[in-house]
Amino acid sequence: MTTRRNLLRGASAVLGAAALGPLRSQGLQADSDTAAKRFIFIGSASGCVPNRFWPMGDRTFNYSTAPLERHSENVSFLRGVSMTNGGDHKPYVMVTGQREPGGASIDQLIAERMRSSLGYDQPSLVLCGKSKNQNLRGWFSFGRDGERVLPQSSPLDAFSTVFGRGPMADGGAAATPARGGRAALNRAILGTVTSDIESLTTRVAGSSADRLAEHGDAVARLAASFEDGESAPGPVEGAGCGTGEEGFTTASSGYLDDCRRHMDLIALSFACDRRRVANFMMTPLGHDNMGRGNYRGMGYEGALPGLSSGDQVSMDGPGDLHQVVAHAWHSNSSYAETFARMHRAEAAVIAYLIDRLKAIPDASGEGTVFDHTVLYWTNEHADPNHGVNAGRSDFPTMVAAGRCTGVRVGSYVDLDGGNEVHGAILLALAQQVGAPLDRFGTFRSPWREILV
Amino acid sequence: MDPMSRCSMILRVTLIALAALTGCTGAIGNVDESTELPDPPPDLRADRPFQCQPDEEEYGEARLWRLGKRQWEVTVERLLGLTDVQSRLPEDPVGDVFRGEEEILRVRDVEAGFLFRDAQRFASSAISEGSVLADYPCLGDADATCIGTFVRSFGRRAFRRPLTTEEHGRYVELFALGERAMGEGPETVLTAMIQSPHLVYIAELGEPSGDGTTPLTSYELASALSYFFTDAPPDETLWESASSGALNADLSAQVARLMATDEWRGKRTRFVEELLHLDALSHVEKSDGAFPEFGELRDSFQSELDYLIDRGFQRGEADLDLLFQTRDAMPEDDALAAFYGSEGEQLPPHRRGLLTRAGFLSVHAGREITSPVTRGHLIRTNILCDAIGSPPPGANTTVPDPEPDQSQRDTIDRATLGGSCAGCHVRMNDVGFAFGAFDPIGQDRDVDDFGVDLDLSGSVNGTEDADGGFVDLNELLARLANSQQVARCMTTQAFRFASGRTPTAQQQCVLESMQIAGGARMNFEDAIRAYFLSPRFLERKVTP
Repeated sequence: MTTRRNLLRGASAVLGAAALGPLRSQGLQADSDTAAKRFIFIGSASGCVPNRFWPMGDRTFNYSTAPLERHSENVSFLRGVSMTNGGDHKPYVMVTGQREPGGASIDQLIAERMRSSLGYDQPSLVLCGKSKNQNLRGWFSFGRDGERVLPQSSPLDAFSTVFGRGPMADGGAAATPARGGRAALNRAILGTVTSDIESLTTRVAGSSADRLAEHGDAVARLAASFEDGESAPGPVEGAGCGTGEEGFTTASSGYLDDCRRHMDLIALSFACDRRRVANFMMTPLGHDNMGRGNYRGMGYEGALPGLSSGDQVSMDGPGDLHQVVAHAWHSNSSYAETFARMHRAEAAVIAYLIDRLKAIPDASGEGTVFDHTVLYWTNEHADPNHGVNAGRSDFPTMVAAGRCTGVRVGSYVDLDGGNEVHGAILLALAQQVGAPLDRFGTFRSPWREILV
Repeated sequence: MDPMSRCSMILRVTLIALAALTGCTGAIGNVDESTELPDPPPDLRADRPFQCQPDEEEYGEARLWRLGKRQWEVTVERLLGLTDVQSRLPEDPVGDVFRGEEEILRVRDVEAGFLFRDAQRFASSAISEGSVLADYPCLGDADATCIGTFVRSFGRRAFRRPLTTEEHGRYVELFALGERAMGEGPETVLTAMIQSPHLVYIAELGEPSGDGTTPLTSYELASALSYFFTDAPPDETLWESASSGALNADLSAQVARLMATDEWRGKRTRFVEELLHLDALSHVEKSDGAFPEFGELRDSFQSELDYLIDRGFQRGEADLDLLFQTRDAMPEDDALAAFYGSEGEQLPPHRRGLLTRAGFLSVHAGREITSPVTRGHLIRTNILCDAIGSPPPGANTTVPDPEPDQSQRDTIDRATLGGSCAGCHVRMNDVGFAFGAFDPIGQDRDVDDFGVDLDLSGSVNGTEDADGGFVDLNELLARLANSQQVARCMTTQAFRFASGRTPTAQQQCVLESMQIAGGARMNFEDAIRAYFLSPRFLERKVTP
């Protein structure tokens, strides 16, 4: 049994301009169509500022989540999700459904379940906005034996992982491999390069040989991307495959720009059917040891000692401002405001992802990629103060889903008190993306209230 | 905000940075009073006196060193007659010390993809602009002899050596395929050649000579010299010397010629800039509120560094004195003179060497407060070649609040000299605090970041010959300037810059020859010249 639900219909549950009913049905249910479904888990850090995050009583999106307002018909905020053992740096509880380390995360389980039906390997796309210490704090993806799955922080490297080659300057044209004579010629050129590489392999040893082999492997993968067709089971490219690929350049204007490239990559991966599951860890929100980087637009500007006003914010020297922002916002309105702005920047990244997914036609011919996608956004904490100040109740939780997923969205659901229901929610969402699980951590029954 | 709150805030930020930098594994703040000075790390042994054993030393391995991004672009410009070639290759990353060291310049998926597309793009431009085909008008007739000449001639310039028969045949065949498939024979050959490993890598392979040695070929030698000193392929003079087989005999003169070029003048400055991280000055940030003058002074700081470094090289004085001793003032810069409070041609006595100049001090400090550990870290790692690692995963960075009236020094020491943090911090902290009389933009000051009186004294420990106490920065700098470990470290850095590699235990002879050439004050340029004239550079061991 889940909880006493309080659907704030009429009185306060309507988000933005879109009039909503109780968890809104969107039409097609997942089990009524066979189109590929996708799942995205997004994990943030350090909790939120509640009165700036949750929808307000006047039925509008709050400040921190306002960027998502344009997708109001597709999102639900679930308040009252609690974690009796999830307060102090135990994000694995949120994503494994277990109280202790050792279990697989939901993205890995769904990817594994999908793999068995696909007949070929399509792992979870595990990304992070910025690398941090590889400890359990802030970690959101775990393999079957509980081992940590290393996220990729470089959009370019992640692109290579997904597509087996670097991004192409001509975007869509390259993503749809060159056919016929052009493809053959490209392969011939790269074959000549390979011959040149091979002519050197016997002449070097040690690290030069290793690097040369690495070069050869990269060229071989690039050549393979120019194959004329697919014969074995594999990705089915949609119409939007390659769209925006040219945007993957080595230039970066900072953390948020990298985040958007990651969102582009998730969208491209889905459009090209290279991935159906993604896990994105938004690590900078108040985490320590973030190191040097440009966090322009994250909300730090002008609000903290040691930072000048203005647009440019690079954290050279001091690691980051986790300690002063995340742990002290209760006592300082300036920090609270900064914290809220940082959440708003993250919400904007998610809204951007939904924009991208909505702009790509689905390969099934039924609507857009987003119509077949479920997105779950949660946090390592309810409150950043490590279990103090009700830090284990009201974990920031949002579900976004397209109309073909059979997930009810468009509402603000207040569970009216702490309810350890996150695992049941994820069980339900897994079912809706075509990856039903017998159990998830300690949870065995899906939370059916989220379903149509 | 009251001053104490602000202080608390600054401290927190500082200590977070310290922990991130230094690899603590213990809980910061638990001071272990019984902590003893640990043994020097094993890596320090690499800085014992160089001990050349000619009979035992191995010659360098045959190797490939990928061209840096700009080197590849310049090569393509020269080959294809294009201007302003800008590739999408990633910027050259920084290695252990310098940008573009051998181990980190790689061709992975990203680079392979960009090389392929850029090669296509630039080949197409060259064809459409006629910058290549103008030399081969006969190509339009698909004449086999002409195609063979084109492949041989262009390939020779692209690979910086004559093509082998096998290579020639392969590229002629590719030309024919490109012509048949898309009517693009020339573009196809250009596209392949400018992403070929024979162009993309500087090859130092050597050819067995028959007398048991494996010297670099004259073509390999020409490329290695040219790319190192000028970041470009060999010019006509060098090419002619290599082609005629005269380069080995002409080596000293060619090196001297290359070291007189404008390109080398810029590159040798990079040696010092990257060694001291001075290249960060252009984008380091300071608080507008605390240091409103920094924006206007930044250019002066940069000009001063450029002036001192360039003049040092021009006078043959780019050496340890440049780092630790020179008090020469930048001429004709009133703003800078006012900043330093100097008159005439000399700075005040406490401003000795590049390490006391505002540009260096600004780089190694935070936006609003100094970063003593960062300053100490730079000295230990890049000047003493000490091994100080990064923080391990799981480092506990929770820090205590400062106690009232506690100095910055006491606070940092208390937070870092306990438990396993001490192993690194005991070597860095005192060295960094010696720079305490300079604020985050290098101005003189009397109190630390917390407003407490300064204590610049301390001790150096864990070195071979620089250990001991000092009362202020001048004493510390004098100690470093006269340290053989520092001199050997600078030799090692010169080797790393020239070769793109960290020297191994088997390379003591070349290091020794470089140090001897560098002289008592370790002249960087003389040491680098010695590397390129060393038999250990000119010969390679046979690949198994």
